[in-house]
Order: sequence, then structure tokens, then C-alpha cells
Amino acid sequence: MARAVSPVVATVLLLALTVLAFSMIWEGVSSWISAQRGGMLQSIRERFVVEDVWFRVEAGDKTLVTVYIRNVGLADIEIDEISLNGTVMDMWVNGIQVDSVEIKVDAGVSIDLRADGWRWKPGAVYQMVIVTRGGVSTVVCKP
Amino acid sequence: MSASRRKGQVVAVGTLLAVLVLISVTAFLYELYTSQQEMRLLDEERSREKLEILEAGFWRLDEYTPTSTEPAGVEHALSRLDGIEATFESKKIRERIYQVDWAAEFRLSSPDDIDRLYLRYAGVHTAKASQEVYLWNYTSGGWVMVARAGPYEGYEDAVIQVEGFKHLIAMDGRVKTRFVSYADEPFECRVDLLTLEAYLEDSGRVLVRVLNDSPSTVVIEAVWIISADSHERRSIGVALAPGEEYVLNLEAQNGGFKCIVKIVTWRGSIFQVTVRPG
Repeated sequence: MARAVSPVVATVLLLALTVLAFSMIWEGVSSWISAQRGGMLQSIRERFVVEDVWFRVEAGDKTLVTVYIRNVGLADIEIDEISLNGTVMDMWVNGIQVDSVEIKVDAGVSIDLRADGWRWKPGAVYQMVIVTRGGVSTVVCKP
Repeated sequence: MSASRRKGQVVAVGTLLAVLVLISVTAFLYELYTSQQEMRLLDEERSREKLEILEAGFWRLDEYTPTSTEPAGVEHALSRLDGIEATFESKKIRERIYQVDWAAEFRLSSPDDIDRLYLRYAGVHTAKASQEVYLWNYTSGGWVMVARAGPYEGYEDAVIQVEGFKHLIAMDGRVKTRFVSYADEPFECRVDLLTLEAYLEDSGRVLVRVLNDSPSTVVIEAVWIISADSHERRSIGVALAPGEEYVLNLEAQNGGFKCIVKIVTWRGSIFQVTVRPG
């Protein structure tokens, strides 16, 4: 005949099960909060202003667009992509090509936009789409 | 240990952990709520921001402070004179009429080149009093009223544009101003930061006169000066109270050629004006 577990072992087992169950719940809640922080909270706190867009001509007859963006929100922003009329542009900051641009709160950054074989046309209207972690913004500009 | 006691212990530990999870979720929801409120406030304040650009041109700004300040008309007690701040006590001139009457003189260096002339001061009345401002006419030899302020008590930031000023400036550049205040009770009149601003044509500089026409303080974060071959950003960092005027005094890039001046506020509003020569 099997002997019953002792009351102390039973209590420890029950407590261990409870803690394990709540650990799993905690893990789920934490990852949900973390995801919301990066998504919903970031998009709420994110604000930036495109202060200036300058359509320029470089040496060698190449063209570029210089855009100055300032963070006026409550969270740092990270610009992942900028496109002009559907063309995804290469981003350059201080002469160095970058994949993304981080802008701290209250700071501003001048970004040069170039793309192989791309030239802006005088008088044309351009839709600049700026993709950040918090969402997508659109600015209409013209040379 | 009884089964019910074990159950009680498990429930206690479970409740404690559940409370921890609830606290964590509630804290996050509270953070979400406060962030939403903060951003809503920021967006509302930004939508209310209004900077009125009163005028802009290729001018140089010369500022003058009085070379002398003295009571005029009837005799007055000058209780304090501290640089460009003067305080005068009123005198009874008739039954229930008290008056402060005083004058100040300026000396301008290039009177022939002046394009615009402004008189600026911060006035304070310790009782509700009306104020009249006069300039001396050097052609006809009499005082000419250039502004009249309705009865006010307390602080008033005055900016007066002097029209038809050529005959109000002497050949040697002297300008005489006179301030007369009336009230029906004894009062003190104080004038601070009394300045005569002369705008002189100068293709090397750009002046932009702005007025904060919004109900909240506006901080001018930066100014862009945009010409055909240059976009230049200059940090400013000036806060303007509601109703306050400010003159942006900027170095021009391509002197004499059209340029765009873009004013950017700290909250992210943009106001712009095109400045043309002549």
C-alpha cells in the first residue's frame, strides 16, 4: 500500500505549482507590457517636426535632399526609413550612411537623402514618408 | 497540517502574486493614460500657438536710450532715476485731477537714413490713469501727440510706431518725448526700458518684428534663413509672453536678395515670411 506524501511536501508542491503558474502569467503580462511600451506608448509619445526640406544639387550633377527633423515629443525617436514618392532613400548623417537615425527628445538632426539613379525634378510635388518605430508620417514638399 | 490550512496558504501566495501582476498592469495603464494626457496638452498648446509677423525687411536696428530725463510742464517730484528707469510722483493740478508730466530726450546718430521709428517702454501706474505720449515737432515748434493709452493700472508694455517722423527729429538727431498721465487720485508713474528704435535700410541685415498673438507663452526655438543657395538654421531660444513683441535681428546671407525667414517654435509650430529688398 502506497504511503501518502507528508503534509509538508504537499504544501511545498502546491506552493511551487502556484508560483510556477503565476510565473507563466507574469511572463505573459511582462511581454505584453513590453510590446505595448514599444508600440502603443511609443506612438503616443512620439512627435517630430520637419523643419526644413532642401532640394539640392551636388558636385558632379548629382542631386540630394536635405531634411531637418526635430523631436518635439516625449520619447526618443528612431527613423527607420524615408521615401520620396515611393523611392526608398539612403540616409546620410554627417557624411556617413546610416540604416536608421535616432533623435533624442528636443534634439534635431539634418539627414541627407540620396538614391542611385534618382533625381528630383524642379516643380514636382514630392510625398515624403517617414517611418519610425511609432508609426508613419507624411510630409508634402516641393523643390 | 490540515488540508484547509494548506489551501489557505496557497490562496494567500496566489493572491499576493495576483496583486503584483495587477499592480504592474495598473502602473502601465496609468503611464499610458498620463502620456495620452501630456500629449493631448502638448498638441492643444501647439494648435493655439500664433505668432503674428508684423513686418519684415532688410533693416538694421539702432536702439537708443534717453540722454536726459526730466519733469516737464508743472513741477514734479522725481522719486527715482535709475538709468533708463524713472519713477515720478503725481501732483494735484485741479480738484480730483492728479498729473505726471515728464520728458526725455534722445540723440540719433543717422537721422537721414531712418526708415521706421518705434518708441518702446514698459509703463507702470499705481492707480488707474490715462497716458498721452508726445514728440516735439522741430518744424512747427510744438508737441505732437503720437499715442494715447486708455486708463490702465499696473503694467503696460507699449510699442508705438511713430508715423511721419521726419519733422520730429532735429537736424542734429535730437528727439524729445513727453509723457503725460492723469488720474483722479494720487499715483506714481514709472517708465522702464524706455528705448527709441530706429530701423535703417541695410541689405546686410534682416529684421522681423513678431507678436505673440496666442494665449500662452511661445518659445522661438530657431530661425531658418533660406535663400537660393543656402538654408541656414540659427538657434534663438527666446520666450514671448502673450501679447509680447520681439524683433528678430538677423544677419542676411545674400544681402539685398529675396529670402525666406522661417520661425520654428519649441512646440514645433512653423511661421514664415518672405523678405524682399526695397
